[in-house]
Amino acid sequence: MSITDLLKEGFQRYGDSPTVKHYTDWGVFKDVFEKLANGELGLERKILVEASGGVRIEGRGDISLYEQNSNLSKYHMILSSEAIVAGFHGGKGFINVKPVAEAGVNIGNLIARIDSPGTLVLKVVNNVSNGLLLLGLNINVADNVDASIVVDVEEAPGSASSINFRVGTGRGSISNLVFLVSPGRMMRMEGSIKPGDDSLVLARLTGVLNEDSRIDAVVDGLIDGLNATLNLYSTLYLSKHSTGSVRGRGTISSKASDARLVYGFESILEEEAVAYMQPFLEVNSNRVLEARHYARNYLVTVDKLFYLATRGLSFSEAKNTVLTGLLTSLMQGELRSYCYGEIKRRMRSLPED
Amino acid sequence: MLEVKDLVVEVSERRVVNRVSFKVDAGELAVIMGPNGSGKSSLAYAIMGHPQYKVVSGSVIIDGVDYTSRPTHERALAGLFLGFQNPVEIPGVNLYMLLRSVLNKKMGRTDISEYVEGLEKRVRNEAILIGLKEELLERDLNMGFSGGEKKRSEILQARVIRPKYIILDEPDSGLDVDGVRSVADYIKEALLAGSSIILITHYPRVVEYVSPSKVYVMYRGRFVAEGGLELIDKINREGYRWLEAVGIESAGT
Amino acid sequence: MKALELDEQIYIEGVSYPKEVELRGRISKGLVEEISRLKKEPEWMTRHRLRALEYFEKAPMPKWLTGIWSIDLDEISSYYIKPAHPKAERWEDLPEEIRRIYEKLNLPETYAKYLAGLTTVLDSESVYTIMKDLLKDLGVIMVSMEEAVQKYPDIVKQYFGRVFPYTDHKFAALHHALWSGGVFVYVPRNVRIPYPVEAFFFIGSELEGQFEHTIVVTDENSEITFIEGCSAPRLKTFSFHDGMVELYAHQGSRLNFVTVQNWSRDIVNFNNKRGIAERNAIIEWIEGSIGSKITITYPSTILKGEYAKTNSTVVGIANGPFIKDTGSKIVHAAPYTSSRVVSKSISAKRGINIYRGMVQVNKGAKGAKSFVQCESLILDKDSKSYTYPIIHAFENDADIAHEATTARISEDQLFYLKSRGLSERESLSLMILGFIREVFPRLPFEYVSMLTRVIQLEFSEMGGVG
Repeated sequence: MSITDLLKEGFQRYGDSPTVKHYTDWGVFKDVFEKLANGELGLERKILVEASGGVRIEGRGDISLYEQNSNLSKYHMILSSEAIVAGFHGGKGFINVKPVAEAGVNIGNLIARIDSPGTLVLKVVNNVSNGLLLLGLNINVADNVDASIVVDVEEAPGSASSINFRVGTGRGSISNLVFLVSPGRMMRMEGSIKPGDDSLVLARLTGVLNEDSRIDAVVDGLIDGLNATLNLYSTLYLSKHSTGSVRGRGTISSKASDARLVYGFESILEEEAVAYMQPFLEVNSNRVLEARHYARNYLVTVDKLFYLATRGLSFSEAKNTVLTGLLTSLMQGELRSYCYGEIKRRMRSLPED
Repeated sequence: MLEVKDLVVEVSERRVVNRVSFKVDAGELAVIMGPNGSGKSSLAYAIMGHPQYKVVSGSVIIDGVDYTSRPTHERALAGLFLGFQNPVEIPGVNLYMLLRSVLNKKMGRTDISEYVEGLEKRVRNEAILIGLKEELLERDLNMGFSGGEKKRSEILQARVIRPKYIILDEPDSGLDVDGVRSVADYIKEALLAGSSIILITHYPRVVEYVSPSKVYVMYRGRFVAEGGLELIDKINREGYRWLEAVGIESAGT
Repeated sequence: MKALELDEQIYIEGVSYPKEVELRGRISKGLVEEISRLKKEPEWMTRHRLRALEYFEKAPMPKWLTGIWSIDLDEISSYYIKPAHPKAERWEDLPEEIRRIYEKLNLPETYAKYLAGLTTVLDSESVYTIMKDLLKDLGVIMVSMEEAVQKYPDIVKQYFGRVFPYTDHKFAALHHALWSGGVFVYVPRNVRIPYPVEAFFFIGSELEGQFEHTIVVTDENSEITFIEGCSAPRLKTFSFHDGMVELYAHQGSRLNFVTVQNWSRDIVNFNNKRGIAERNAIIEWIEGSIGSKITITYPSTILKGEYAKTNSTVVGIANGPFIKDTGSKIVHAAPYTSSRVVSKSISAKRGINIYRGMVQVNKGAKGAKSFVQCESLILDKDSKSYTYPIIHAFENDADIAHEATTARISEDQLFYLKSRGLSERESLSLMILGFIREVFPRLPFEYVSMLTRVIQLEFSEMGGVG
């Protein structure tokens, strides 16, 4: 099997619908992998990880991203499954992840173990201009821990990446998880979230897309046990000519009871932007406390802007206020402050109407 | 002084305001009444500069400066304010965020989301005074607010921002006796502080507590009658039926 | 245990079925030519069938079929060759459950016999004949599809296969090759038919086929409400149904299409339904799906003209190890179009309800508005509900929303009703009727009362039929 076949097969589990040619721009990945196969681009089997605050690097491990009996061959698991293990021991922690080289295929995996309450910021900066960043991420929250985690991925406009993740939380834990993303020309994000018994996971995907950028995010959720809650909310702001696809399957298995599952997807489109939303819900039993999903696009209407303008905000200030408010809604405390600041900065760099 | 001169306004090519003129000075209360569809709200929107309301001719002058072609927010920063009849819902933005941004702007700060010292306390106090539940302050603006709560939220904003020329569009409709009382109290306070109030309504209950200096009656886009309290009494007694005749008379002018 | 993945395997009654549908036997070109010859069809129709057959053979198996494990084309062929024997010839030959249900429904004997297929003719003095005459006076064309192909070829050619071409998917092609029966309705300009047309009673036997093809066209500013099917349980002689409905609503017209189905529980019921709405036109789909083993139906509308509207109300009941795979597909292809979908499903006793919906707003469809609301009720721990909404937004100035909730009947609610004297079953069916009430205002009175009784029986001791 050629490396490009390998690549496609791994992606096709969430294949494209017959009417839409592609949610992900396969061309970007195919291009890079062909160059890699031809020796035109190098392969770096590591990433730079810096930790500070309550985080300590604790050695190496093997990352586990897929179900044991899954027959999906994921190219990057074949290229490297070795992971850096970081332990977060409470308070405030910061992990900085960067690719080693600015060109070529950079591949690395990180396992973050959160064993005490606190706030963890995991910042990924992707500036690979001729190549790809392939990142595997495992986030584990221990039993009875209250954790707030931000995975902040910021990409340079010409960069591309594929991020695969798995989030598992322990019994009795409360996790506030935010994926804050500014994709480059193509970001593929695929992963799953599995809350433990008696636990709560509030997961938020917030994306600020620059012109011509693109994201295809696939986030599955599985509730399999007792009294677990998973709320996944996604809000993408799509500038001109950008494309945002958010798909995911939330599943309540027949074994689960007292489950709560909410999948809510929202897109804000500028001119020539395109949004795809597929919040799938599979409920396999009636022992469910709440199961709902929604998808909508959000219009920043003249009336809303006018209202704020009568209070003294110019239309562009009003729009920024509305958008930043939307993108940070449902976030709390320190997570919200961090995200608010970051989003403000990224929105400011967007060209004004 | 806020002056509106011979204003003609169209929306979707339909004329909604047809040569309206009036003036309001510091400390004055002007009441604009009229049946539904007479153009009262359109007049308010046009004075505030809503992009879909086209001023065909005439002008809006604030403190001697012509603002007719200036954008809405500049009019607001010049001291104008509109308390909406039906405030729009804005998910993601709450009262604190909004007021913080506005006050920062007035102070000339470039970062309008910067923390404003003492704002939170002030907002909470005003909420108590106006009878607005504290939990609504954190809620997304107007989302899930009852009609009365939306009106109170508008007044709260005016109290914090302290504008010079305040247009209130039907502030008393949907409020109970206490609510009407607090709107009236606010009007009295604002007038005493030197602000001007333009009260738009079709059956003013607030007037039981505050006296207007001028009363205008609007019908089909025009001011067809001008007077004082006696006009309000007439409307309370007879409604708006007599406007038909007056309307035809003044159509010629 | 891995969570159930619908696109891999599905378990019904403990048996697992592979996902790829197995096709046994084949449909010969000779059979298709023979069908055309027996119907005395003009050449263009024969050619159409043959082209469709060719496409059927080439086309890949659709990946989105659930629970259908094999289709026996030889059996389908033989259905054509042998004359259809009704499953029963006398009242006494009907299966006991059917007789009992008909008795409980208090149907007049003539109707019961008609429904049971024991007779194909209704009393000539019936109110339906009077209505038929009125339609004729209004200039409405309502004839069997075969007759329309011969008598009105020019009109038929304009619409047949234009709304739902055979190239859409494999089973659409199969349908186009083998179609038989169905009705052609044309409502002339400015004619508003004042009462719903209950086609089942007008044309009955024509609509009973396995591959019936129905076309309803409303010319400018006309109006019709067309009801097919009936909520009383029905036996069928075939086990695989692949029907098609094509609707075309011209400017300013209004077309309501209602389907109520309660077929025996051994049938795989496949439907292809699509409509095109022009400027200011309204197409409304109402679908009540109670019977069959598996029903697959996605009424779809293309909003082609400005201000066109579509509403779709789908009620799916899977009471037992059956599958209801329903949904809707809407394409907003013009500005200021609007769509509204309400889907209500009930799953009980290992039933599975699937909702697949797609809303696509094309670039340029400014001011488009779409609202989809799905509610599923799962009655017990063995039943399931899957909702798969897909939204494609290619236009930024559009208002699109999809909401779905899954609920269960709480012990508290049941207890409350029981405390008022209702039995458990009665309480249950009352709540279920309340859950799907939204569909009712659109249906004529006698439909509502029969539907209500059928649902009450469905969730009572008797359960379903077949």
